[in-house]
Amino acid sequence: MLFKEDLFSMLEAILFVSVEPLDKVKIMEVLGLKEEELDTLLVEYEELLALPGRGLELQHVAGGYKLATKKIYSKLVEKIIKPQGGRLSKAALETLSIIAYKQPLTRSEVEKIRGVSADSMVYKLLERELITEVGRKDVPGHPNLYGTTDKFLIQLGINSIDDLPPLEEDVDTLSEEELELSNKSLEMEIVNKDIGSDSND
Amino acid sequence: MEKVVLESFEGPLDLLLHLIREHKIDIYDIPIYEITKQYLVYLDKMNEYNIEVASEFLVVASTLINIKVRMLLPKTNDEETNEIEDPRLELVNRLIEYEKFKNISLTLGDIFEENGQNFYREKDEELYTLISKDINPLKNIVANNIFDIAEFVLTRFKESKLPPYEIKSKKITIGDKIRELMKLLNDNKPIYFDDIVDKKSRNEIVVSFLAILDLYKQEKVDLFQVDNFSPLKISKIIGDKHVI
Repeated sequence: MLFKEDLFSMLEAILFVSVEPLDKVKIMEVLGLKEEELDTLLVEYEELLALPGRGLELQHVAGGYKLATKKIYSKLVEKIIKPQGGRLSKAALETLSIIAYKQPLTRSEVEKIRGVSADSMVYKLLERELITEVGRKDVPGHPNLYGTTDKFLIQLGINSIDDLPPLEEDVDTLSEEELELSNKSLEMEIVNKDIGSDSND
Repeated sequence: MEKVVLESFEGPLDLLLHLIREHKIDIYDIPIYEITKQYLVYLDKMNEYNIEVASEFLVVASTLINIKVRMLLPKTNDEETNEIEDPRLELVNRLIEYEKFKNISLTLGDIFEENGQNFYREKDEELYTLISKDINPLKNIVANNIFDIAEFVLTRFKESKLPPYEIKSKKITIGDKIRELMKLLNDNKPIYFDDIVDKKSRNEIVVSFLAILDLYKQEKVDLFQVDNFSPLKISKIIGDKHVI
């Protein structure tokens, strides 16, 4: 007879050894649980981790579950491990955004939108495993098609590309809550622009 | 006096957008002459500061001039729709499309930043294989075992006080090699250099070659080679008689 505590411990153990996010089907299979039982367990485990005395949190990313250190301990954790790769440049972020929203697409399609060569940015993003080749376009030359990876989803903390913040043209179809969020980011952009024009005067 | 601030731009569209936004221009009604002038001033500044102007900037400059020219030409109606097409439309659409992604990339950058404060275990191939295959090399071994093993090895090492042993490499002299070669050539059949140095050490190959040169100098052998890198044939000279 298993107690709730046993299930928490078992779940924690398998989440700890998994490097890739663990999907629900796998957890159900390993722990021998039904879906609704697992759902309850996950919610309760997440609440448990949120309590003081725990340094980890449960993230639902890239179609699975994974453990991550809590944000408030980021400075502390950085004393032990150095985040790799550093921040993405503006050019890399623009390239990545185009690929994320328009995937799958070719390098020249990215170039058309940005108006500059995308060679080195695509290479950089491939190297950081944020994008990957997902096939070839059926046009002369059969150029590579690119799309985003699970690592991209994990680093953004989202479950799938459907969870990306909406592009401007999609604003009409937003729910009120999402609209509020995107307004917030618009305000942020306006602030950024103000800073930008100040330095220009 | 004008303070020159040369901002960096992600490309020609970025620069164009900046000029449009800076002068609070309606993107659907861009004064092409004004914007082209501003655009070219910026390219001049880049030249002035010895910044290499990427060819993409020039492409857009020529696009701007092309648009201006088309706007000066008498307007022609589109045959099918009977509408007058604005020469600026294509560029405007590209600018709007670019701005959309430029804006969202700032949002994604913020999310990356925010989420970058969560750390998680990343794939360490070596460790992962170790865990998944359960081949921990120290399985079933405790600290005491290691002490016992170390003690055993060290005791044995102390007991066996073997004198140091020098390993000498085999030395071959040119003289030895000459005698060896002459023996091989004794039955008056020619031999090939490749055969006598096959699987020999580099040292021995060099000695063999020097031995052959020495024999040639002494006029004891004839050397024959068809071409560069072709097999080197060595044959014995008997008296004055050359075998080749």
